[in-house]
Amino acid sequence: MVSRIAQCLILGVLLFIPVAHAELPGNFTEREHRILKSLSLAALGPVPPSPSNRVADDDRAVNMGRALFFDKNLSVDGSLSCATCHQPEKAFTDGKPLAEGIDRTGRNTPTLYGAAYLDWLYWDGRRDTLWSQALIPFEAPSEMGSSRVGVVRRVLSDPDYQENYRSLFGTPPEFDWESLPDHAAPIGDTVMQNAWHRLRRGEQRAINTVFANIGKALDAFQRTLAPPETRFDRFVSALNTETTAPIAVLATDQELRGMKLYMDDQRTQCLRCHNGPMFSNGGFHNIGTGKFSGEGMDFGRVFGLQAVLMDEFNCLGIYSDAEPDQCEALGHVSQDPHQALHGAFKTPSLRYLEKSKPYFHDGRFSSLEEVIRFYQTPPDQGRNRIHELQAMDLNTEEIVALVAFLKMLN
Amino acid sequence: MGPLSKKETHVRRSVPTAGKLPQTLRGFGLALMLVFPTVGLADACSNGCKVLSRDGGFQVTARPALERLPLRRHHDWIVVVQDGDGNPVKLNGLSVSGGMQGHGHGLPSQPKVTEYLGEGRYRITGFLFNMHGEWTLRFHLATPDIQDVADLTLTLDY
Ligand code: HEC
Ligand code: HEC
Repeated sequence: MVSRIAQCLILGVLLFIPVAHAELPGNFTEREHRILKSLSLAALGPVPPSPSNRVADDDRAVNMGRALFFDKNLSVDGSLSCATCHQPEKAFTDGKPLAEGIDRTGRNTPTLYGAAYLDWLYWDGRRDTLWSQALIPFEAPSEMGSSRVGVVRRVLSDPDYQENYRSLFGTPPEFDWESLPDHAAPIGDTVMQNAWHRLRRGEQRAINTVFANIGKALDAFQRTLAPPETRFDRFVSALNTETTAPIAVLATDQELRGMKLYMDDQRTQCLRCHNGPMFSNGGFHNIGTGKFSGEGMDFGRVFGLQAVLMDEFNCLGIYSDAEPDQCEALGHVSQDPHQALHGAFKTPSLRYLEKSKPYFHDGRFSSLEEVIRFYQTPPDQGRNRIHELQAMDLNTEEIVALVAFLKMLN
Repeated sequence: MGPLSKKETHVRRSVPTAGKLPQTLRGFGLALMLVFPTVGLADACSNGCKVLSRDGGFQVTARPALERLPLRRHHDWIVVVQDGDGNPVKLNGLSVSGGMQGHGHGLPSQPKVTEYLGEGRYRITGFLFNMHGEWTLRFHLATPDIQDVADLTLTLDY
């Protein structure tokens, strides 16, 4: 009797498995299928133009930018380059909670894949172009600790850079390097600042022009960092073209369950912010991660907004190559009068998370399970609750499935 | 069909298509991959996106300048303002605000009126939508005599 039941069960299971697999791809609704396509790299399209940078798509600028990116001599003590924190094998991140340059910085290093598609750079969007962004790490005391005079001096005294520079931007201004200080910048320590303010206006302008051009070469290089295809992207293109078999190979049942959850507006709301082929809407959202006092204080976008408006290197500034009406993002920047921007951060990409851990602007979480549990019960901020999240009720199995799906994006 | 008429494929619905999908898709799968879909969401608002202002003084028709609405990209809209009798209105002031009421956030960009195109038509640049769901747009309208607002609800879906 028992063996009879067992036989039936086994037969049932045998019959069931092939049927279930045969229907896997068809389990998606048309809407889900459209969502999947919108998330695939096939939907990314070419890198958008960078009107504020005349040499953005010039191969010579790409080459110069690549050399600059890996050049440790551009830091104050020759100890680090951009690539120290943005390591190619870690999806251009560093694996640390908070980046460490000359000193510990206050934020986690984001990936550079897809950065050329962003309207706003940094967690708080305090820069609006890749080239103006690239100027900051050189001078940030905790990052490369140098100064614009130091960087320009180094670049223009190197024969290769000099030749590259000349072919891209024309003959560089003449500087009397003997009389100029080793370092000078309007930010940084007081020595550097005092040295900067002793320079003549014309000298400052000339230094800034070369400095901005160095940023423009770095922009050109970073525009070539195409996001690598993942198993998820292969899955979606198989879904478009193939029948069942390859799809079953490309995604496990668990991953498919996670995928469905990710697209289910009732159960999760990930797609509101993490949408499009980079799994980011590029916008600023408050998910209750801001810190408004004490150590690690971080107000996010509210200060980033002020900073980008004041930046002399922004798209509307004198070092930009754009016509004012080409500065779409800065020209239409939202200055939300409400509290929402306090503690808002830019939605990060969910691609390559395995390589870019730990997570969030302050690197507070080292695993994706922890991140999902954070979303399960968003922080209660009492009467000052300004975040945009709603609690979720996923069970452990569902959390694991969601994480499994996210891991397809590596 | 106006550019904003609901395209059937983008009306929010949930059709179980077990087993059917691969066949339907095989034909144009490759084509889809080559023509990258820049548009993630389609647009939808009722009544051809025409609304009456709160105090009834104006009829406002607001639509994206392009056939489809590009998600996550700045784009222009054309807004047509008429009085109650359908005559074009040249305003002294027109501006836009809005957001997602359900989620407690405003617009991710600040659209700007850049041009009066004549016949009550205005070009507004810098619209940006970065998520699906229900968006509210509020048009603030002013003539020397009247100030009024017109609210348009826009439901974006995949
Ligand atoms: C000390 C480590 C460090 C160095 C060196 C460094 N970065 Fe970064 N980078 C970071 C951190 C941390 C952030 C985020 C900081 C923030 O948001 O405030 C960042 C952000 C960025 C971003 C913005 C990405 C986004 O999604 O918004 C770009 C682009 C970038 N860095 C490029 C560069 C370039 C180019 C250089 C060299 C000139 C460089 N970085 C040097 C740590 C570093
Ligand atoms: C309201 C917008 C919003 C929603 C909804 C949302 N996120 Fe996020 N997500 C963000 C923002 C903003 C951050 C960065 C927060 C920070 O660094 O303080 C983030 C960070 C993350 C990170 C860390 C990535 C990294 O590189 O540091 C992961 C992983 C993540 N979200 C996954 C999800 C998942 C999964 C869901 C759905 C359950 C979800 N998010 C829902 C806006 C959102």
